[in-house]
Amino acid sequence: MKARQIRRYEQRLRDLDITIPVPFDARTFCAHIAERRGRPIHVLSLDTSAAAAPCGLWLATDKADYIAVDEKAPPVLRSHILLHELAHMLCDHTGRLELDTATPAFTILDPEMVKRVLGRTSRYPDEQEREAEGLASVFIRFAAQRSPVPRPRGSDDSATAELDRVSAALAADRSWK
Amino acid sequence: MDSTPEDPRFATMQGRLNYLFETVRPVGKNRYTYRDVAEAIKRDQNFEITAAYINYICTGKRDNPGVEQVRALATFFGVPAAFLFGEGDLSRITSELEQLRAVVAAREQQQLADEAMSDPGVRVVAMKARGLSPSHLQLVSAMLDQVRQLEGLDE
Repeated sequence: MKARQIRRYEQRLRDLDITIPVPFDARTFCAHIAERRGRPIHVLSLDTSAAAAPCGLWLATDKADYIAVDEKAPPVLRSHILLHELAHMLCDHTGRLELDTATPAFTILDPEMVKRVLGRTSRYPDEQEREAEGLASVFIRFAAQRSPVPRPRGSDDSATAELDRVSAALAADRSWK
Repeated sequence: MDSTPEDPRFATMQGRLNYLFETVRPVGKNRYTYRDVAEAIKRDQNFEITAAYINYICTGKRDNPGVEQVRALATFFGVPAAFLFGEGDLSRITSELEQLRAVVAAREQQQLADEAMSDPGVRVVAMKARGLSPSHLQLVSAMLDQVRQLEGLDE
C-alpha cells in the first residue's frame, strides 16, 4: 500500500473516533466499535473448511451486526478476518454476495452475443474489498503507532509480523477466496 | 468439457446447432425458442427464416439447410458460420463457448446466492472473499441459521 493511501485510511480511522485498545486486541476493538455504533456485534464461529480458503462474513439485521469467522483458521488470521469485516462495517459497505465471475476475453465470439447471454455485471465489490482490506491493515499499524507503552510482548510482536504477512498476501492475491 | 473437434456432438449440423442452443441462452431461461430466434433474425438481420425451418435442422429432419439460413443462425448465435458448417478447426470456437458456458453456470450460482440472502431480516452482507463459490453458499446458509436462532426468528 502506498504511503498516501495509508495516510488516507489513518485519517478515516481518526474521524471514526473509536478507541483503539493498547495493546491491540481485535475482540476489544470490536466491542468499542459496537459501543460507538450503539448496535451489538455478535462474533460467530463457522467451520469454513468446506470453502477453498478460510473466510469471514458480515451480516447486518435490524437488531445487530453478525460477523462469522472461520473457527479453524489460525488465531492471527481469525483476527484479521474480524478486522476486515469490521472495516466493511465502518465503511458502510452495502455489498451483496458476489460470485467471482470474471468474464474471459473472447476473441471469436461476438461481444454483443456475450453481453446478451451474460446480462448485467456489477463491479463495486472489488473496490469495497480493497477498501476494507486497506482499512483493516491500517487498524493494526495505527494501533502500534499510537501505543504509549513500549512494543507489546515478544509473542505479540511475532503475531503482528504474521498478521502483516497474511494481510499483504491477501491484498496481493486478487483471486483469493 | 471435452469439446474436441472429434466430439460426436459436433459431427452433424444438427448437433452443432443444438450445442449453440444449449450454450447461448437467454438470461434466466433454458434456451431460446425457435420462434425467438426466427423473430430476432428477422429483426436484426432483416432475413426471413421460419421457426419450423430451424426446428427441422435441430431435429435432424433437414440435414442440408441453405447457406443463407445457416449464416443467419450463426450470426444470431455470435459465432463464425464456419462453426455451423463444421469447417476448419472448431476447437478454438468450442473452447470459447465452453468458457462462456462456465461463466453462465457461475452466474446461476450467483442467483442462488441472491435468493439465500433475500431474507427480509438481512440488510447488509459483506464477505471476506473476492468471489463466492458454491461451498461458500453452504456457509452463508449455516450462518443465517445461527442468526435466526440468536434473533428468535424461528420461534
